[in-house]
Amino acid sequence: MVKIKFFGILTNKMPKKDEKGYWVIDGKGKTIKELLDLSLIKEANVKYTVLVNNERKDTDYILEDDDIITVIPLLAGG
Amino acid sequence: MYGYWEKLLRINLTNHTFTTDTLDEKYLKLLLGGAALGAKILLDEVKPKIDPLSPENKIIFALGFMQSVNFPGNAKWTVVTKGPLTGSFLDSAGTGAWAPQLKKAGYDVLVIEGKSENPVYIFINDDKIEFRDASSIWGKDTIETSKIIKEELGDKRINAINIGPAGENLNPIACITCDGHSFAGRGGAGAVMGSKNLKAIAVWGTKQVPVSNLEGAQKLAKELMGRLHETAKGGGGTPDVMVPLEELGDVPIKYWRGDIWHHGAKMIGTPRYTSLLNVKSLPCQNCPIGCHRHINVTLKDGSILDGNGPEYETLGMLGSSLLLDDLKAIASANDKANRSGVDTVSLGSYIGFIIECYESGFISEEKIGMVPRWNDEETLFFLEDKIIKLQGIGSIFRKGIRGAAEIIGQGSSSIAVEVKNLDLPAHDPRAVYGLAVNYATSPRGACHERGNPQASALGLFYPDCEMDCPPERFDENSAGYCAYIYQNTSMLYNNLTMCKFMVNNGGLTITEIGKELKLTTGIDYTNMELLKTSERGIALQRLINVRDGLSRKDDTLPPKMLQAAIIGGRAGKSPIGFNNMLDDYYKLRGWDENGIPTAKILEELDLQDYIPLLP
Repeated sequence: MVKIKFFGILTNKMPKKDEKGYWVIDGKGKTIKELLDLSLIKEANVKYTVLVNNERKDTDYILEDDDIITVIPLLAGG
Repeated sequence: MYGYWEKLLRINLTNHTFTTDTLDEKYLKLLLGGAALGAKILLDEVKPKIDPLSPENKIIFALGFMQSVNFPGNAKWTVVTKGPLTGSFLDSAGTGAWAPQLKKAGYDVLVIEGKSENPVYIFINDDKIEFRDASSIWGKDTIETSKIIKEELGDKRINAINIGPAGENLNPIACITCDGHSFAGRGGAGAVMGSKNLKAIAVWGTKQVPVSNLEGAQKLAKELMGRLHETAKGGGGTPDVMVPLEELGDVPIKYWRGDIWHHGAKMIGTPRYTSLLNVKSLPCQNCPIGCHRHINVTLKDGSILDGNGPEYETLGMLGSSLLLDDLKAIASANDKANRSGVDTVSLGSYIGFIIECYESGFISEEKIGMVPRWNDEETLFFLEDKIIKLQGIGSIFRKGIRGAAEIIGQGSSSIAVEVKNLDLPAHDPRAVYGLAVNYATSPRGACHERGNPQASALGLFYPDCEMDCPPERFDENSAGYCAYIYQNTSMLYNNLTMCKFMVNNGGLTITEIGKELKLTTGIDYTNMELLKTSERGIALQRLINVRDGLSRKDDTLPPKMLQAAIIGGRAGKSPIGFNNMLDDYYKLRGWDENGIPTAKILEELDLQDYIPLLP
């Protein structure tokens, strides 16, 4: 299983959350993109960056068991 | 040290002479450059409590290592001086190819001293330094000035930072611009240049600074450029945040008295901004993000405005803060401010202040010269003109908004929204409590760039810097920490002289910045060691504040910030526990209860040399 959390203005685009705010899903062997496509993140129309275990990864990265995925919106003004 | 020339160019305007000094490698490693290194030099060389507009003041331009190769976001320069609004530490940053060119000319730092008898501009051409007569460009606007200098020097590639007529007139909100495209906007650095009769500094360089692993650094730079561009492409620039920030209650409305402005935000934010103003992205050199907006729009008088469009801060302070939803009027006022060389944030604050003072009966129509109104382009244009020229009602701002409130009297200071005489930018601290602490403690006065807590409200945070999540925006117990950590990261970008949008909009991580540093200098820094360079810079900047007489009594919030909204994204919220938040922040910084750095923290930060300067 992997844990995913969206932050800030993306939070309400997560399909579900446990008591700690994570979306827990069987993601082993899947790419980040495949999992994000299951969410409503595209509706937000906001750029974002993805970290896996606190290290930035491209969305074609293939996940392993126990990975923790952090999705951070990239939207900043002056 | 690889990545640095270890060379400081010192220009004496009084004598029209120059010398070079060697920079101390110890402090290059401790501070990295930019605003931190500039603070050290200011602390070392400029006495406390001087008049910022006197020849005793110095102007310091400090780079980092980023300009060694074409790292994304490296077209960024920092100016450090004593600012005319606060009378104390000021750093301000702008973008433009001027920064990489200064590095290529062979310098890490430029220090300007004294005062020229007549208007002059400087041309740095590798080792050759020229003092050129500026009488033909004195009085010209920032864009014309740049054009004339390029023609005179015979090369369009030469970049010049310059001031407009506002800086020449010592307007305390005058800024310094690079080719009229980007602005070191806040705090009045343009007035300091004007006080020295210095119109512009042009630069051209041809050298490559030694780099530890040049091929590796260039390869990483190219990879990052591609990736960040792919991440950020198609974005609408800073106007993208107008609508989401209004929903959060972060946008200033009716000079900080309004609660919501849903319709107005949609009128001046994207996507309407993009279509109405015919926007194209306008990237700086070496920038994969392209946040600046080039616009081409026909104004109401039939003239065509082709140039820089208003950024979010301008939309906030000339738009929502004045309840003005006329995007063309805002764009026109923005262009005039750019050409004159004034900070649109403080400009908008002064206009809002005048309107409210009029409504409160503190100043008359006769004194102002018109009846000022909210959502009125005539008000905007009339008052902008007066403030830029410091004429008529504008003359009361010669010493900033505090000076104006003193002249008006009648309790008008309670209307002014400022900290240390620097006006609040377009982010409401009632929407993000960390911003309240940030504004109160920022060494240059109320600032959203020397600390970005407002970004935390949108969800930006740093998992690779021991953070699990962004602080909750209305949590009083984490507000001090919020200010602390977001100041540390912001300061890092200013030390590197790298545009923060590489991180905030491009997704660059602190870890990757460490890789850039390692390839350039050959030195390993952990992420927390990188943030420690920020802590050092902030400590030095605070020491300058303290020596200028500032302390906890000056780390305040404007009275309006304790008035909660009734409806909207920050309904019922205000940072009433501010004093406790400030205590938390001081503890994190290692300062005493008066906000004075202690000998202990200076020792921990390897700044023992500065312990004798403590009161």
